[in-house]
Amino acid sequence: MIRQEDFDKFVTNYNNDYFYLLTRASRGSYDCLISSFIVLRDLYDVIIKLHETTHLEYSIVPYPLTFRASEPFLKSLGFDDQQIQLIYGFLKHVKNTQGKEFEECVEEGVAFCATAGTTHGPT
Amino acid sequence: MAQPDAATLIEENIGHLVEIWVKAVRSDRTIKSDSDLSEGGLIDHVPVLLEEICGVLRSGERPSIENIHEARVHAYTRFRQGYRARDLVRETSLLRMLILDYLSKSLVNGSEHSVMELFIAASRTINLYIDEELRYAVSIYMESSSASR
Repeated sequence: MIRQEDFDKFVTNYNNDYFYLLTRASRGSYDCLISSFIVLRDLYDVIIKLHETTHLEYSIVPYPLTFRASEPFLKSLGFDDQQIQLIYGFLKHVKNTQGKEFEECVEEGVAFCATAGTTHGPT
Repeated sequence: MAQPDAATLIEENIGHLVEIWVKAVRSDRTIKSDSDLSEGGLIDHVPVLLEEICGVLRSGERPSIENIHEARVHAYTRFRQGYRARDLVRETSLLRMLILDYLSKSLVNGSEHSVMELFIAASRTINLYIDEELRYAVSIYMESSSASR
C-alpha cells in the first residue's frame, strides 16, 4: 500500500517534471517534447487512478495534464505572454511537422522527436 | 438520431453558448469570485471543455476520470485563481443548465421522432461529465494542504 507521504513525493516529482517540460516549450526548445509528454501522461494516469481507487488524497495537487494550451492556466503557473506564445508555438510546430494534432500524437502513443521528425516507436 | 448529433448541435454553437454563459455568471449575484477576472480570464477553458464534452458524446464513452482532462484544467485553474469552491460549483451548474436548455430547445424544433431518447441519453452524459468535474474540484479544494478556503 502506498503511503500518503510517498504519494505526495510522487505528485511533487510529476509536477516538477511537467513544469520543466512546459518551461522547455516556453523557451522554444521543442526537441522530443512529445515523447516526454507521453511519459508524463502515463505518470499522470497512475496518479489519478491511485487517487480514485485508494484513500490517498491530493494534499499536493497534480497539475492537470492538458492537451490544449490555456492562457489562464499557464499564467497561473507563472508563464508570461511571450513564454505562453512559445508554448502555443509548440502545438503549431507539432501540427506542421507531424501533420496531426498534438493530442492525436499523444493518444497514438507514438513518440516523435518533433524537431528531427524521427519516430521512436510506441512506448 | 444519436449522441453524435447532440455533439454537433453543441459544437456549432460553442461561441454563442459561452457568450450567454458569461452573461449568466456575471449576473448571478451569488457568484463573487468572478469580479476580479477579465472576460478572457472568466471564459478560460470553457470553450475547450465544451469541445471535450462533444468528443465524449461522439465516443459514446461514459464520462470518467480518464476522459475529463479539460474539465480538470478548468477546475484547477479556478482553484489557482482563488475562486471560492461554491462559486465554481455555481458557474459549472449554470453551464450544465444552459447546455441542457439549449439542447432541449434545439431538439423540440427538430422533426425526429427519437428526440426524447436522444435528449435523455445526451443529458445523462453531460450530467455525468459535469459531476466528474465537481468530484475532482471537491478533492482539490478539500484535500490540498495549500487550500486556504
